[in-house]
Amino acid sequence: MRVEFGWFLDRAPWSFRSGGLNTVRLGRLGFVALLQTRLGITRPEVTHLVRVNQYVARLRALDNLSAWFSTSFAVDPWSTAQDLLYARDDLVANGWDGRLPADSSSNLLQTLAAAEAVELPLSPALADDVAGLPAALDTPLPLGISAIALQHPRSSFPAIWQEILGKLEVRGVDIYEPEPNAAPLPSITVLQAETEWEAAEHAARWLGAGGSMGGAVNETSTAVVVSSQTSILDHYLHARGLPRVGIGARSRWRAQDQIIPLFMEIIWGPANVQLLSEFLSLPVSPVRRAAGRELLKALKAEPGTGGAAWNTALEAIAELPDLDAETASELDSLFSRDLLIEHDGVSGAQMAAKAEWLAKRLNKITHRRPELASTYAQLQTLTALISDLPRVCRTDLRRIISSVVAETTNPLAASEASDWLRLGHLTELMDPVDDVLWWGFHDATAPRTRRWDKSDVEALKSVGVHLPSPESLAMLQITQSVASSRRCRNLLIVQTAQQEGEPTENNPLLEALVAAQPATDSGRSLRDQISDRTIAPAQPVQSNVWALAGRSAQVTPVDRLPVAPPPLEFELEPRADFTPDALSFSQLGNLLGCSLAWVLDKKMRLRPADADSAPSGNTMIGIFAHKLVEELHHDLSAQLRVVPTPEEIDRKIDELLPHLASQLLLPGQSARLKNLRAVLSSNVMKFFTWVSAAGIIIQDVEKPFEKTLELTVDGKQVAVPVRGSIDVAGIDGEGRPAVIDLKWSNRDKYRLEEVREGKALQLALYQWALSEDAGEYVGEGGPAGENGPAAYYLLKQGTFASTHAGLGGTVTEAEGPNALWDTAVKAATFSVSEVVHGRVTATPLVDAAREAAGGETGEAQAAADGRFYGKPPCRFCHFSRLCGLAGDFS
Amino acid sequence: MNTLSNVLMISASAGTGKTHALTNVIADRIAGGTPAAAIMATTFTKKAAGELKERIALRLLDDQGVPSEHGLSDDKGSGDQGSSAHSPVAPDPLKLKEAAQQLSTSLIGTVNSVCSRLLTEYAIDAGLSPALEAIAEGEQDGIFRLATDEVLADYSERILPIARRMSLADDGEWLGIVRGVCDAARNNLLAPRDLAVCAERSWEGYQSVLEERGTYDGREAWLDGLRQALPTLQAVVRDGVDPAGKAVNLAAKNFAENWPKVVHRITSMGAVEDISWEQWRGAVPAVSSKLIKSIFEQPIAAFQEELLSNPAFHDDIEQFIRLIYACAAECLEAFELFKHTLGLMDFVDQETLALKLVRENEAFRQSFSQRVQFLVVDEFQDTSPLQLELFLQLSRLVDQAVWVGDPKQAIYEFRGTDPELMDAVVSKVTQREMLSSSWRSEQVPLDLSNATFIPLFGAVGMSRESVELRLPDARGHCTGGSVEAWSRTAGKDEERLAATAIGVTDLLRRRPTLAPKEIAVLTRTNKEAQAVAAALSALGIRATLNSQPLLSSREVQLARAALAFVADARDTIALSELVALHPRHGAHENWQQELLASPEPAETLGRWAADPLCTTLTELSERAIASTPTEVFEEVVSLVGLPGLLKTWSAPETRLRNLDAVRAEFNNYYEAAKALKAPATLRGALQFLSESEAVASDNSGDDVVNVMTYHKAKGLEWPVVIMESLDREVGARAFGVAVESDGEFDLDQPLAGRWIRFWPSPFPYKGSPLDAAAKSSDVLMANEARERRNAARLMYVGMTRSINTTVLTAKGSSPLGLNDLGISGLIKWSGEEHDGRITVNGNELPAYVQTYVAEDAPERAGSTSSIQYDDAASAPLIGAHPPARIKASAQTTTDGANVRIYEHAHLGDPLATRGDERWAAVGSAIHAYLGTEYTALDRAGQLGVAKEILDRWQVGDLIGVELLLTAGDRIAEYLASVYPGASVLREVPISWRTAQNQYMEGWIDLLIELPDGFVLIDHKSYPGDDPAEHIRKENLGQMETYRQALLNVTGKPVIETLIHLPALGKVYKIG
Ligand code: SF4
Repeated sequence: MRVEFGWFLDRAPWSFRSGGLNTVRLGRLGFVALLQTRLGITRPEVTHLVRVNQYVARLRALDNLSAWFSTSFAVDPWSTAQDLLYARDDLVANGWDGRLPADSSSNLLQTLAAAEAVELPLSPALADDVAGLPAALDTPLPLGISAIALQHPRSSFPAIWQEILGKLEVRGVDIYEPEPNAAPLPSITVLQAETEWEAAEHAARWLGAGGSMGGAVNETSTAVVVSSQTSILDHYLHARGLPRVGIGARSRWRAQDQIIPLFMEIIWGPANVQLLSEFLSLPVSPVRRAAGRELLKALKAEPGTGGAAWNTALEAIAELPDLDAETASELDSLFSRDLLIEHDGVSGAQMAAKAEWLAKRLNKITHRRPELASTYAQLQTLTALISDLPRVCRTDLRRIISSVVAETTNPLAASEASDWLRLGHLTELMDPVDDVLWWGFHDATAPRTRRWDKSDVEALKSVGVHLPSPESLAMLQITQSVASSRRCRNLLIVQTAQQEGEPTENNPLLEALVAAQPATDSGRSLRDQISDRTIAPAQPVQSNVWALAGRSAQVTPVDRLPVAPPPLEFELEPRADFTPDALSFSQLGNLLGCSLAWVLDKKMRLRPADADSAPSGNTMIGIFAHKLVEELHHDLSAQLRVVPTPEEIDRKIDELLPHLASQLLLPGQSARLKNLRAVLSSNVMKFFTWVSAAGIIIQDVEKPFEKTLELTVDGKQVAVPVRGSIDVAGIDGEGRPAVIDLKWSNRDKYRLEEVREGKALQLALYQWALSEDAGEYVGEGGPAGENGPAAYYLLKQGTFASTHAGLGGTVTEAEGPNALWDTAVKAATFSVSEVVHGRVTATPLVDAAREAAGGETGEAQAAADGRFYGKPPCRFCHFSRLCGLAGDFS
Repeated sequence: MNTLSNVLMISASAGTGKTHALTNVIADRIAGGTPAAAIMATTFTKKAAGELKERIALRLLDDQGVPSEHGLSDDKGSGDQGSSAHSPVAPDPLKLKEAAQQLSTSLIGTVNSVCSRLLTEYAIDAGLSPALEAIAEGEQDGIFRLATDEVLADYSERILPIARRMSLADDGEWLGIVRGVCDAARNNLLAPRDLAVCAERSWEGYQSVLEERGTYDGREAWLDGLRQALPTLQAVVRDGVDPAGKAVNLAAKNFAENWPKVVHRITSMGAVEDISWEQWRGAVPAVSSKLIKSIFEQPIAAFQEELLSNPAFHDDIEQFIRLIYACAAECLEAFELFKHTLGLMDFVDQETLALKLVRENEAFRQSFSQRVQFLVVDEFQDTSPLQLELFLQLSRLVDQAVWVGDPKQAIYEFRGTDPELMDAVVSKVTQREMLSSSWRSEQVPLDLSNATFIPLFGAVGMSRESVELRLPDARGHCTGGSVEAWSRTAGKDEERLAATAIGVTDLLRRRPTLAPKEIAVLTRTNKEAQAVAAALSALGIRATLNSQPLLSSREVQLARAALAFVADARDTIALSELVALHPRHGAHENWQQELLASPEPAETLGRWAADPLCTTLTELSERAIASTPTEVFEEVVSLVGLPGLLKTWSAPETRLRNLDAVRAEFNNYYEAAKALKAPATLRGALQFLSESEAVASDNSGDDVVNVMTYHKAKGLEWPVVIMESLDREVGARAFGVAVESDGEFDLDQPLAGRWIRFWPSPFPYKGSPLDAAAKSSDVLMANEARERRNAARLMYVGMTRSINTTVLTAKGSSPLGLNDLGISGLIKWSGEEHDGRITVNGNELPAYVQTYVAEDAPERAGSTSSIQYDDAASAPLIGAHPPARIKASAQTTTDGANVRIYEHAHLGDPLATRGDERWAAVGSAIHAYLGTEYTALDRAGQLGVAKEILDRWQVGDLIGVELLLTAGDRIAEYLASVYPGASVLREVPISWRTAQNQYMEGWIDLLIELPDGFVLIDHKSYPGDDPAEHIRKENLGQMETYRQALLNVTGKPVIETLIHLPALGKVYKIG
């Protein structure tokens, strides 16, 4: 057998065009494996994970407080062991026998030597195999190798390999050193693209274009050197009908590899709603799709678990086809009822019990989705690692998980057969080709090798261990790249200026490759020589012919497509069905403020994803505060009391948090929660106290109402039920109905203004809803004093916004709620009539456009018509990218 | 002892070829024999590091190492001007080439990257996890909050009530202060326990702006006063007459605006402890009408007079200061602990830990000094105090250190650098070089900057020669250049900036050969830069600065919608966005009308989702389980044909970069997840993206004007530089967090005497008695002087960026800001157009002077960016390509059922029956033995090999050596008898490329070459009872592949295919 052997050939294909029998091209790994086979010293493979764990055990045996590695080991046993094992393997691979060189005082060597002597298992790896070779080669077994051709000079191999080669030579193997290659250097072109997409377009066009040798593609032999992932290049190749290269990126963020980490987060309390909804909405989730949807809906309504919405979801799950109460209960137990609490102490066995559910589900899914087999295997490994631990802490658990779930490559599309030669680095080019395209050049950097202290290097030398220096390896790679480049005639290097938003670093190989070029124009500096060879993507086109590095293609200029903002108004056929089926206050606000938004929401039913819009921030706190007041009131009224005690408020907050705002219980939130709790307790207390001092008796909280709003549209009566619930409804000392709406927002300014200017539509609506008879409020406005008190209570500020003296109001508004309601009815009539006539408008945008053109503001126009002006609801609108508000029409 | 004897300081004024000098210093050193691995060099940015490495390599390879004798002098090196100098000993070119090839082993990088490399390599010496990675910049706030949460929660109880009175409670303002103190402490190596002293000193100093603490707390009286006066105001409102009975115009703007505020402010005052100091101060707005103020005259006066001695005020300030420091001290500890347990560190930790190694770890010191001989620090003026100490320490371990920088360009004080400290250190360096030849600017702009800065820096003690820039002989001809002065008289900032944009168009008109990319407009703030960019774009000129949120650009919206649709096909908003944004969706043209008009919207939406554009996305979601969010994103971009689509839109290059920026956002998301070992998913990535504050990519191209802040302009140059924001005067405050230092500077303890001063200000708006008192404080004076020096340096950076032309701007004809830097009346201009002149400190420079106003300027046609091309021929039909590789053992044959498989030879009794689950290992062991040339050994030798194999495969308990030996003997005898004399090859490698370009590599177990063809033999350790069926199922494809490969590669057929079944003692034949 004939072997080509070199430091860079481990990934190199054995042949290109012709194929071959009994001849092979090997790097260090392959060559060791070959010799082992020949010498009968193969062995089972052991994973890196196992070996590191074995080394952890050895270090643990050595560990004591004064041990050099002790601090690191305590902080991160896994990485410390990995690092030292790497050092150990580096030494062994260069012939170290495990003994401490005499008078070596280095901590590192002492530790490695001590670890070598520990009598605990350490499975051998490549390093041990290399170390064993010189001795193994002493057996008389014939090797069946006739000749070894070295890729680079014998002297450039590490010492131990020179020894191995020596032994092989003694045994009759012919060793050939490479002839100095006199072939001319290739012509080099550097395509300097801005982004990977741009680079890919040109690279793919080049590969698809006629060969540089004039004829068809297949008459030119081409090699594609790929030093980084090709997902984007592959998309372009695929689009041109060319085969994909199929090199994926290494990553730990594949969805399948996140199942375990996610699961191991969400079974702990307090519930992490964000991660739970991520788990439920995985492309393939261990929780059945239908059940997951119910839970997501619940989280959207109440961002917590175990509350009313959650329980409703569980009931719904129990009723789903194929599912049952048991499944529901299982989910409840896992994600809500029996969450693990770190503080209580959790054992490995408990964890393993939880993991069993996941294992069961994964096992089941794997039949349908074989990709998940690896996840299942990871789970087995993980369970084995943790189930015996007496106590699991979350930090350690996360660390263990991240060592089990390692980075993987798994391109969406695999490598496809191509007539070009595929290589990982130019140093792998062993067969002559015409053209080479080098993709991902910036990533083709020198391999990092371990740096040893000079004194260690010297000490080791004295016991015959000769460590190759990082410098020599760096040089070897560069000289070998230059040498390999002589095997092609035309080298196209693809560079990108930025990669994933980061500027890429230049690869020094470029300078070396260009510096090796014969000087064409003496006096040109190397920098100039490089720029002479560099082409920007805009350059290659001349009169519609694209030409790059010897290949060309016809191209056509692309026409600009004008991009215009969408129309702001739509004229449809009359749409009687656009009459509101019912309105709540906020829907009324939307309808008045933007009929497009209202129609898209209510009539077209456009919805964001279930997992997308769980309330957070102020919205979440608002919901929470409402519920707090509601529940406190229920408790109080059952006891015929009116003001809660601070303890009661506190207790209630604790009770409600997990159901409605569990996010606030997570680590990192306690300062925020503390602040919130202080504000809430004091302001809720203030609320009950003030209300009672104002002589208002609260009758109902979240009091539902429904009242029909009679509108006259085109002379026809249209009845729209108005529904909703009043946050706080009561009666005042004079027996008049009182309404209070609770608000949580950062500023109180707008509410105060609203009340002062008589524009508190919400309050007016509630008052209208509570009044016995529609006529009392619609029509002639009576003096404001005749109406019962109405107020916003601003929970964050602890102040009322009201015209009512008892609730802090000081001034009388100009007009009473009746007049306001009147304008509101007019506005509603207007908007409803618009939509039923099929006129749908992005009202705020129409207003803004008119104003920009020097016309009236929307507010002025409404005022002139005597209509209530609905503020633009854009801030909370999901449709801003549809109506054009948030559009980019440049 | 002068510990800096081995340090050379190179002061490189702006444009003097600092990078060049730096390159030469290092390259010469290497040429002089220092190995590349013994070089350490730190730069300010990653980009600079890359450039430096590249330049060094270029020089080593280019010059063949002729050392530039002017490496440190004023002439730019030989690279650009042809080599000139001859060196005493010409270094061996080969050696230099080698050195260039070894450059990757030198420690060249940013301070952080170098520290991180050292810490990784010496992690165990430092007691760290070797897997430590620095927390990404964007994650640091979040992690600090997480780490200190408990402490903050704990302190909030005590701090909050005071913070509310100090108006520092909202939006976590007090938390920000704590953070600021922590950062300053870490940057200046102050330990938690040092903070108590800082608290003491801060309070002590603060008292100097207060009056003596009184005993009377007048707040109740203030409140009474306000409340008592309120009805008077209300009566005025009600009755329309003032207390004196005079009619009042209630509708007057000031009155109408302010009375409700006063009423609300006073009525919402509760208990005095709940009233903030600012509430007192602002109860009656200072701008209120006379009438209102007169009503409240008494309480206003009482507050003004009593505040500074009010005991409650004193207490609040004192307590607040003390609590902030105490809290910060505990936060520092909690932060440390948190990072320690999670194995995290940030950039400051890297430096601190590196410093600790250098200072305390003898092993490191030894190793480092064995390794690094030459240390170079670039942008020395921008090093933080902590970094400075690190460099001082490292410099002591090496043979020689070179610090390169320009004290005049120290502009990062806001990031914690301290120019004064740097000056103190630099003054201790004895070896100095000064670079003052400008390789950048022409004479006239140089005249302007010299005239401006020689006096300005002279006033703070810098010598003329350290400031003055002159033309080197080689550029003696560059006597041209010009300066301009633009007045923009508009009152509103925005309009003034818009006038500058007009000036740009005028400049382009005046100088037709000038390309937009050759112009830079520099501003003080980002906001100003944005305004300039917006004004330019209104005139049809694109600016580099793109302040649009990344998410608002059309391509990102489209990609996001597609991604959201992949994540959940029920997201009908995402679906509609796809339709709305993608011209290739069938419903795109008229989608709103179609949707709104449809009687059954759900049906319409269903139809939309069935469009091929959407179905490809739905299919992708099927595959998404095996992918990362980034990969799904890339696939989505490709599936919706975004790159092609972009070509039809404006600024396609920028848009492609925006897509790349989305990938960067995803990486930030992963970084955060990785730091906390948290999961990351597509849904999470979408969430992260929707909350992202990233801005869109900058524009680029020939037709783009550079717009940026002065800070960002550092190190860059343009033919024309327009200096904006020159009217901004120095505005210093006495309040806030600041690092002070006292005592003489001590080289051995450079950070001794440093402390953090924190002066809280309870008044967010001006006009309090406190502000008035602070006006004359030493602290304010010192701060003002400091600010002035900072501003001067920043202006220096700005004014030295231009090659040809510097443009000054001002509201009138003298820039207030430039004239506020220490020399009043420094700069002014007069005249008009080409007859104008700029007078600087008495020197007159001819200048082009113009006044611009932002009127309706003629709208320029939209700029034409580069033409985009697409393939002329439409893409060929997409052919299916087979997988690249064939794995022989995974091949199946189609006609396997028809192949005859039968027993061909009986070698002996079965050696084993039925394997257990470890049979695979037994199989491997048998295989391993048969793979060797055991026939060449004697019995003892064979025994040895077999034993070794059983050991290695750990199957000694399952089978004995006999099994291997017998199996080996049998097949060897069989072959010898059937194919006498034929050569038997074992483990034969074969490689083959099929006609479809599929590629195969494999090892054939046994191969016998006969004259008319091959006998192909494979060992199978199958121990069961239906070998024929087993072979049919498992091996036919493999054997067939090998047969074809052999025929193809050698031209010789396989005449016999055998399967050797050692466990069963049989040979089977195929076909
Ligand atoms: S963003 Fe504003 S204008 Fe657009 S649909 Fe929503 S509410 Fe209407």
